Formats: sequence, C-alpha cells, structure tokens
Amino acid sequence: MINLKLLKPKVMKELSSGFAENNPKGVQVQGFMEPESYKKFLAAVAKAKLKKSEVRDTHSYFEADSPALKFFSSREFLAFAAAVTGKKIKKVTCSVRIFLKDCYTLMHDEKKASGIELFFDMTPQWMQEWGGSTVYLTDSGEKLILPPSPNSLIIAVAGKSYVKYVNHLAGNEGRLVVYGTMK
Amino acid sequence: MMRGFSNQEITALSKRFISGKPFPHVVIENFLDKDNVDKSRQAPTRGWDNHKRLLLELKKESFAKKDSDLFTFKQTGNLFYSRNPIVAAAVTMFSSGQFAQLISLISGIRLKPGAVDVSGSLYEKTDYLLCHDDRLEGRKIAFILYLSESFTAADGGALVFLTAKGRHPDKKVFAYPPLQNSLMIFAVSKKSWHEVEEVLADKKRYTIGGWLH
Repeated sequence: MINLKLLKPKVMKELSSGFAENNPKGVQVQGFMEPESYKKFLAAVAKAKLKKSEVRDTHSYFEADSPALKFFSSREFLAFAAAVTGKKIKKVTCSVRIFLKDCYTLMHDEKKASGIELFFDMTPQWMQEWGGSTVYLTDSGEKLILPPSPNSLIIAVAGKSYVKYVNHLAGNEGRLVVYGTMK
Repeated sequence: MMRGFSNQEITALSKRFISGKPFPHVVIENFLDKDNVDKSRQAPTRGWDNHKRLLLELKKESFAKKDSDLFTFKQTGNLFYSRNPIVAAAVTMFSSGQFAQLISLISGIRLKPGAVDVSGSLYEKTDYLLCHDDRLEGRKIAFILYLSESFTAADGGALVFLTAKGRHPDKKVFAYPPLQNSLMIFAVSKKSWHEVEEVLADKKRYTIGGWLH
C-alpha cells in the first residue's frame, strides 16, 4: 500500500533525518500510498458515516471510524512509522475527520495528546484562503503552515499543531483527513 | 462623551444585567452622546455624533493582523498610548471613576476605576474569534463599544454567548449583531463563554473594548 519509492533505503534515511531535524520534529510525505491503493482507500473512507464532534473551546469537526483505518495499525505502517520516527510504535489510534465550514481544532485540545501524531490528507482541491490548513508552531512560536494536499502524510510530535478554522468561502467543500496518535 | 443616565434607567439596566442569560450581561444603547464643541479644534460643530467622530479617528490608528488557532482579526495596540485626542478622550472616559461607578451600579460588582487593556478591534470578511471565557488576572467586567454601522444577522460578526456544561461551553443561546453606538457589558467568570461569529459580509466591524477589574 505504501508507495514503494518511499521505502527505498536512501529515501527512508532522508525521511528519518528530516523528522529528527525539523522544528517541531516531523516530516511531510507526498504521494504516500500507491495510486491504486489510494483510490481503494478513498472509496472505503467515503462510506464512513460521519458524526459531528464539537466542544467549542477545543474542537469542531465531523468524525467517523472506518474499516479502512486498519491499514494504520498494520505491520507495514507501524514499521514505516518506527523507521521515520526512530521510536518503537506499538499502537495507532485514529479516525476519519472532515473539516467543513466552521470546523477547527485549538492547540490546547491536542496538547493533551502525547507521543506522535499523524495526518493523512485526502482533500482533492483546496484554497488556502478557506482556512483548514494544518499549522505547526515551532519552539520559538513561528508558524509552519501545511496546506491540504491529497495523498500526503504528516508524522510529527503531538501537541504542536492545530487545524485552522474553515471559513465560509469554503462553501460546501471539506477537508478530509485521517488523524491519529501513535504510542 | 458618555451620555447621562437617570437612576430609573440605571435600575432598569441593572435588572436586565442580573437576569441576563446565560450569564449576566446588558446592552446600553446610544452610549455616546452628541457634542456641540469639537474639542480637538475648540470649534463649534453642528451636533456632531461622538460615536461617528470616534470611529473616524479610530480608523487612523494602526491595526495589526492577529492570527492564531483562536482568531483572525486586526487590533490596535493599547489605546492608552494613543496620541489622537479623540481616541485618548475615549480611553480617559473608560478609565474614569464615573464609568466604573456607572458599571458598578448596573452590575452590582465592586470595580476599580481604570479600564485595562483598552484596544480597538477590526473584523473584516472571514475574520472571527472562537470560543473563550476572557478570564485573566482579576478581570470582572468586559465591555465592548460598537462603533461601525450596524450589522444584520446575515452579515455575521455577532457576539455569541454559550451556556456552560461542566468546564466547557455547550449550546449557543444568544447572538448580538453589532448595533452602532451600543455598549455591551458582561460579567467575566468561568461561565462567560463567548465568541465572535465569522464576518460574512463586505463590512468592517470596528469596536473599542477592554476590561474593568
């Protein structure tokens, strides 16, 4: 399922050193799944029945479980994540989330998360002016803005990110991701 | 600058403040009066509306973009340091014993004269402020003076109050679209969950706000 180009030793070494050296620790991978696997994954996720999850001082989004998410607990993914982070990954807890108009997460929500987090993005078309980007704060408080990008994966330390409020310019579009934490 | 209030009106405002839901609040309409003298030039005017004059002068202040997980809008620095005589007069009014006394009488809360962190805010299309409770170091009353033209519900930009459930906000139960020259005051507490709705229209939402301790 993982793009074979990423699994080459040279590329894995680059991802691993990128994770260790970036501030905050993390790495973004484009073209994460093989194209055919990505299509099948998208089709499976599309069947998920999303329900609103909202506590206005922490987050607002729609969320669902999906059988397709078992991929993120597979040996293949756990080995990949362990190689990138240099840590032994035993467990991944994740869900499908969609950020429609008026959806967001706040920093102090995700601060409670410990360990490593993942964002697997499945948003086909997105304008940055709509909001909805994943924003990471560096140790010095600078913003690292990662706009949605389909079939891209972010693996980073948890508690340093938020999803910017999606404004009304997004209309009926939504940012679709898998969000998870790894321990 | 601030208009006069009769004892009868103060009593009525106090009743509305105390019974305000989901937490004590009240809106004072037509808060600033008309002036017959332009104090900056010591020249007579034709009954200049102080809120219009203040808006005109506030627009000359420097507004910096504020952007975080919680908000996107523009804000001045602390207006206490403004060199603009009209803006400075507004800060003096908010910091006066007269203002603190008025708000004390309405809220029934003992307040110190001297407003804290008075600043101007500007919300334009897509700007917003997400849910928070305003609690910080002794804040007792929050006040917001709406200066720009009035908004309709369809324009967005309303101040929204939420009920509390445990330690978190719950349901939106009150929305106040900006009404020109009205002053909103509310009691700051662990239940004072509020937010500013995203501005949906091509309108500029100017306010001056701060806190009393």
